[in-house]
Order: sequence, then structure tokens, then C-alpha cells
Amino acid sequence: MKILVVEDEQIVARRLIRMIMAILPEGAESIRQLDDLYEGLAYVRKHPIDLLFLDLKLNGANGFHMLMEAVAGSFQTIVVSAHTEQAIRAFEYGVTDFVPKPFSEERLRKALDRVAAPDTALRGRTKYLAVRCGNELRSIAVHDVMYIKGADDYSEIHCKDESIHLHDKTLTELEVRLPGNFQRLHKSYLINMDFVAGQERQPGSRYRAILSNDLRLPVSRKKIDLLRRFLIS
Amino acid sequence: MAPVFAADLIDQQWFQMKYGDDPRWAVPVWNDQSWQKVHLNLVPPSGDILWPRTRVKLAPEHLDGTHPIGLHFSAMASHEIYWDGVLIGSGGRPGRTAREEIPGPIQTHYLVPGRLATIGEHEVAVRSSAHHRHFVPRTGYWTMLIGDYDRLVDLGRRTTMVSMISLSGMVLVAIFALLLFLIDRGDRSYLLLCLLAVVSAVLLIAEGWRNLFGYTYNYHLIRLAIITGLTALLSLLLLFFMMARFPGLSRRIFLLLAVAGFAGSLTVPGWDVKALLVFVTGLALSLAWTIRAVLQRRRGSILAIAGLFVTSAVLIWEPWLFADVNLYFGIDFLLLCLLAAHVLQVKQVKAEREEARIKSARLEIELLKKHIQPHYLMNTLTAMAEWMEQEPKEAVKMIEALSEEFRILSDVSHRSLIPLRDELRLCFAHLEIMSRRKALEYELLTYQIDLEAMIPPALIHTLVENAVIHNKPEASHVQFQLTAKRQDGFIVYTFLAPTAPSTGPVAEPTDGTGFRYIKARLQESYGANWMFHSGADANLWITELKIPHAK
Repeated sequence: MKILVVEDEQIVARRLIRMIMAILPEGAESIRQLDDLYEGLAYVRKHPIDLLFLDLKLNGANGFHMLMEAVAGSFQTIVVSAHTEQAIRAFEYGVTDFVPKPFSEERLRKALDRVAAPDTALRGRTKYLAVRCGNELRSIAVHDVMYIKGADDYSEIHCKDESIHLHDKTLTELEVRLPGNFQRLHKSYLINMDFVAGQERQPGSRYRAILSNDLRLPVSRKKIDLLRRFLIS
Repeated sequence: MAPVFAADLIDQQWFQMKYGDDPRWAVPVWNDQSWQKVHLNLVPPSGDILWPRTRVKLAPEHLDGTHPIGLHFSAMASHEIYWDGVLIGSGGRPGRTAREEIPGPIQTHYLVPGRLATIGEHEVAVRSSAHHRHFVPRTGYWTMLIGDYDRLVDLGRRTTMVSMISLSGMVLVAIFALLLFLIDRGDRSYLLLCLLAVVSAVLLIAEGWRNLFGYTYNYHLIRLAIITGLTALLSLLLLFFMMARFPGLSRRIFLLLAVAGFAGSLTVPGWDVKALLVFVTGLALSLAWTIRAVLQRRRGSILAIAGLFVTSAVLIWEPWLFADVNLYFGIDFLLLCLLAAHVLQVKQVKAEREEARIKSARLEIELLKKHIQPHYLMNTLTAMAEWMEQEPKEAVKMIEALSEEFRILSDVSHRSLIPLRDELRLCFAHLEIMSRRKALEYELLTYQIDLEAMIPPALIHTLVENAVIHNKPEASHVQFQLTAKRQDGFIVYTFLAPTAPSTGPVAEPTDGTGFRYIKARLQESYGANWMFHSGADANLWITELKIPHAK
């Protein structure tokens, strides 16, 4: 696992790295420490990472912007911050964990456990998705998303206003973060069930879900029951 | 029911006069046709005894049988008065020389015996001398009134009694203003208000003295001089008061105008006119001064100008009664207006104090909040946890520094000024903590510092804090520098911190809450009397702070 630590307090960074090494004796392929997120993001462009530890100074105006920068990335983010009052918001944007300062090794271990098995801990907490539009970051409310289509290592987010946004995270990574009304009816589609209006059968016992804007999306055979049950209820 | 007074008084103005002395001149049958006929206002000056004679005609309406006849005589002269040759009264003792004469009262009244006060013509002769006047009056200052005795007695006193009503108001204002001044020595206008009221009261008494207590005519000049002097003082105090209450403009010009006006007034003949013009001068200048204050919308100026206008209106309405009665009611009204203005001012001051108190409390909270805000406290505790686990002795040092910082903070946060000694202790404690958090060596060097000089709390501390936050150190040793320089009553502190290039858009130190805090503290302690400037070049962040020197 490639890890980046963004923390300008040297002793805190030292503590963090020391503990990560202890918890992941073999898992940590590389750990790098930088002073701020802008340096960090420049670094990530050249050296892809799996996990970001981010010290968020959420008291300033750009604290929130930094959070969006981080969660728009392909990697998982763990916020390590003194500003616990911002934890809920950070989760709404899909961070993997929020570790309040001061922290112990046990707490850090819990955070790293979540990175390894994110579904149970994260399911349903995300309310916004941060996406990049050119140079600017935009946040999309999850309830405005109709469905997400998976591409290779990124995702296409289709909104009800017919706008389409690209996200650096994979469909699987988004699936664990999004609330229960998002169902993986197909390996390439994560559908917001709130927009599902019906189903249709096609020759060769293929099924398609009909969305409220009359769009039809394929449904895997395994998921047909799930769709039916949903439509009956 | 009998009328309160009998018919109108007889105002005897024309007299046959002759210098010299002959007891026979008192006799009614003496032929004075060859004597000079003179109006009382134009009695010629002379060093000898003067005999004015006149014929008084008593009509039936003067003698209603219930009211005795009296004779009012007022003159700057000793006198003996003969009614049909009978001496009915004397004031002092007329004499051919000053030494021979005993000065008589300035005004008096005599009862004309009933047997002499009969219907028809009567010869009134006055034997007089005036060696003790000390000056030659413009008019004669002679008055002779004949008629209802009660009315004559009542005549001057009634006017004076009415004006005396305003005396108590003045005394009250004088005492009240004095108390205000003693409580708040800073405000000279209260002392001026007190003096204004005292001088008005004394002037009122001096004016009324003649009718209330009387005096021999040789004191008349002194009384007139006192009245004119008091009037000048009053109008000057009025001007001074307005100047103190509504500062601005050049006082010198107004004072020069006042002196010129007074000098001009004093050259005019006639004491009443002199006093009146002196007062008009002061009133006009005060009006001019206060109108400017009104145009500038100064607090209380509307009330002050209202008082001045009413006084002016009263003056213009009846200029010749002004000095006797109206002046004092005008002044009472003016004093009332000034007191009302004071009440308004008290209200404003109270509101300002309350605001300042709230502001101070807010600054104290801000200072304390800065230190318990999560970023500072939690990062410190996190670093402390690391030291504890790795190097417990270092952790103890950090705990000591943190407790030192909090101890000083709780000592100083509620004060508006603290000695620089405490301020620097606060800075050193902070740097000690930051050094251990950042694994760096921060150092604050001080030059020419007076440790006892006073400074608002946590100013330098805020600069140090900003310097640490906005500094990306490139070496393991970071030095800040504080230099003090005395400059005519001020101290200029210069704070230097290294700047380092940053890769991202790091917040400028100028937009922080830190600078707002510094400026608010400076304003709280020094009003507008301070300077604060901060700027950076490629290598250095330079902050200059100029505050009044105080120990």
C-alpha cells in the first residue's frame, strides 16, 4: 500500500508514520510525508497512492476546499484533525475515516482496518460526491444522481439534470460509500433506485430497468429478483 | 374696597436750580424765578452745594384718605428735603466741601406728613451736595417721585424680588456642576458651568443690592464697576464654556474678538450701556461658536444654541430691562439647556462605556479562545503524547511550557495593558511549545527592550504565533527579532521574521484574525494614537508597531 501523509507538524507526522509502520509491518509499501495538500496533490499526480492521511485545518476558508480536493481523488482519505466538529461533514464527502487529534495507536489501527474492509463502516454516510470540472471542484448531492456507469479505473456520474461527471474512484469504491438506495443492478451500473420506474423483458431473457426519464439500463440476471421485489414494494 | 395704590406717581423732572447755600431757599415763598431751569437728567456738576426747587401739584386722586403720601428720592448726592419749607427728611449731610459732607443713601423715600400733604401746589426744595461721586455721571442719576407711600416703598423691590426667583436655580446649577467637575476632573466644561452659574448669581445680587439693601451714594461707582466687570466675566465664561464643550476652531481669534468687543464697549458712555454691550459681545461670539457646533452636528449643540437664542431674544425684546430682570431668566433657561445637554452626554458616555466594556470582554474571550481552539490545543496534545511515549523528559518540558503559557494568559487576558516582561514570557512559552511540536528550534531575540514598558496583552505573542504558522522553515533553527526604539513619547517595536517561499496559496498573514485582534487591542488602549504596519519582502516579514510610551 502506498501511503502519503500530509501533516506540517513534524512530531505529529513522526507519530503517525511510526504507528502506521507498526500496524502495517508489510502492508506499507511506501510512506511519504509532505507539509501541505497542494504539494501532496502535485506528488500524487506523478506517484499514484492508495491512501492519504490528511491533516485538515478546517478553521480557514480553504479547509473545506482541501477536503474536496482529497475526496475527488482515486485514493482513500483518512482525515487526522483537531477539528472534530467537522467530522460529520467529512464523512458526508466520503472520507474513509476521521481520526481526531490527539490519537492513539488503537484508534489508528481501527482506521486502517476500515481501509482494508470499507463497506460496513462507510455504507450510506456519503451525501455528496466531489467531482472535477476542468480546473474547478464541484460537489454533487447524492440524491441528484440517477446512476453511475463504471469505466476502467474511473466512473461516469449521470445526474437527473442530464449532466455527466467523471470521478476518479472506481464503481466499487463509490458503491461502498453511497447509501442503500444505490444498487449494483449490473456490473457496470450503480443505479439510484429512487429513479427506477419499471422493468422490461427483452428477447433472450435479458432484463432492463426503466428509469423515470424513460432511459433503459441493463440488469444482471442475478439482480432481477431484487429489482422485482423493489418494484412490488 | 380701596384700590391697592392711589393714582399714578408724580415724576418730578424740571427744577429751578442754584449753587450756593442759604437756608431761606427752603421757604416756599422765596422767589426762584431768576434761577436756572434744569432737567434732572442734566444736573450740572459742581463742587458747591446745589439747591433744586420744584412745585408739586397734589390732585384729589392722590389723596384718597387711605394712602399716605411719600417722596422717593434717588440721587448721587447727600440731601435735605424741604416740603413747603419743612424738613421732611435728610440723607447724609450736605456740605460745602468733601470733608464737611457725609454721603447719603443712593435712594430713599420719605413720608410726607399728613398735615403737609394737602390738595394743591407745594414747594419742594432740596439742599444737596455731591463731593463723593468719584466721577461725573453722564446723566444726573436724579429721580424724584411723589405719590402713594406704599407704592414708592414697593417700587424697586418688586422688580428685584422677581429677578431673585432665578437665584436658587443658579445656586443649584453651580453646586451640581461643581460636583460633576469634582467627580470627573477631566472635563473642564463643568467647572466653567459652575463658574457661569456662580457669576450669574453674584451679578444678580450685585444688581439687586441697591433695592434690597441700599448703600451710600459714594459706593455707586464701585457697584457699577463690579456689575460691568461681572457682566464681562459672565459673557467670557459663556464663550469659554461653549469652547470647552464644543472644541475646534481657533480660540485665539475668538478671544481677540472678545477683548476687542469689550474694549469697544467700555468706551461707550453710560454704565448700563457698557454692561449691555459687553454682554452682547460675549453672547454674539458664543452664538457664532455654537452655530458652527450645530452645523457639525455636535452632541448637545442644539440645546446650547436654543438657550443662547432665547437669551438673545429676551435681550432684543427689552434691552433696557434686560440687566434688571430678563437677563437672569435668560441665564436660567440657558443653564437648563446646558444641564439637559449634560444629561444627553451622560447617556451617550454610558452607552460608550458599556460598548467599550463589551468590546474588552470580547477581546479577552478572543485571546483565550485562540488558545483553546482545537488546532492549537489538540496538535500540542498530540505532540505531547508522542514525546511521552518516546522521550518522557521532553514531554515534561512541554507540559511546563504549556502550563506557563496558560498561567500567563489567565493573568493577563482581562487586562488592557501589561508589562512587556509578561508579554515576552508568553512568547517564550509559546515558542518552547512550537519548537517541540515542529521539532525545530524557534528563537526570539530582543534588542533595546524595556521590560517595564506597558503594552496590550498578546500583541507580540500574536505576531510570533503568525510568524510560526506562516513560516515554512528551511533550516532547523528559526530566529525572530524584536527591537524597540524610543521616538518622542512613543515606542516603536519592530518585529522581524523570515519568510519562506511556499508552493501553495498559503493565506497571507494580513487577512488573519490575528491582525484584527492586534488592531482592536490598540484601539482599546490608545484610541487613534497608534500605528501598525506589516509587510513582507522576499526574505523578511517586517511588522512595525508604534504606541505611546507608558510605564
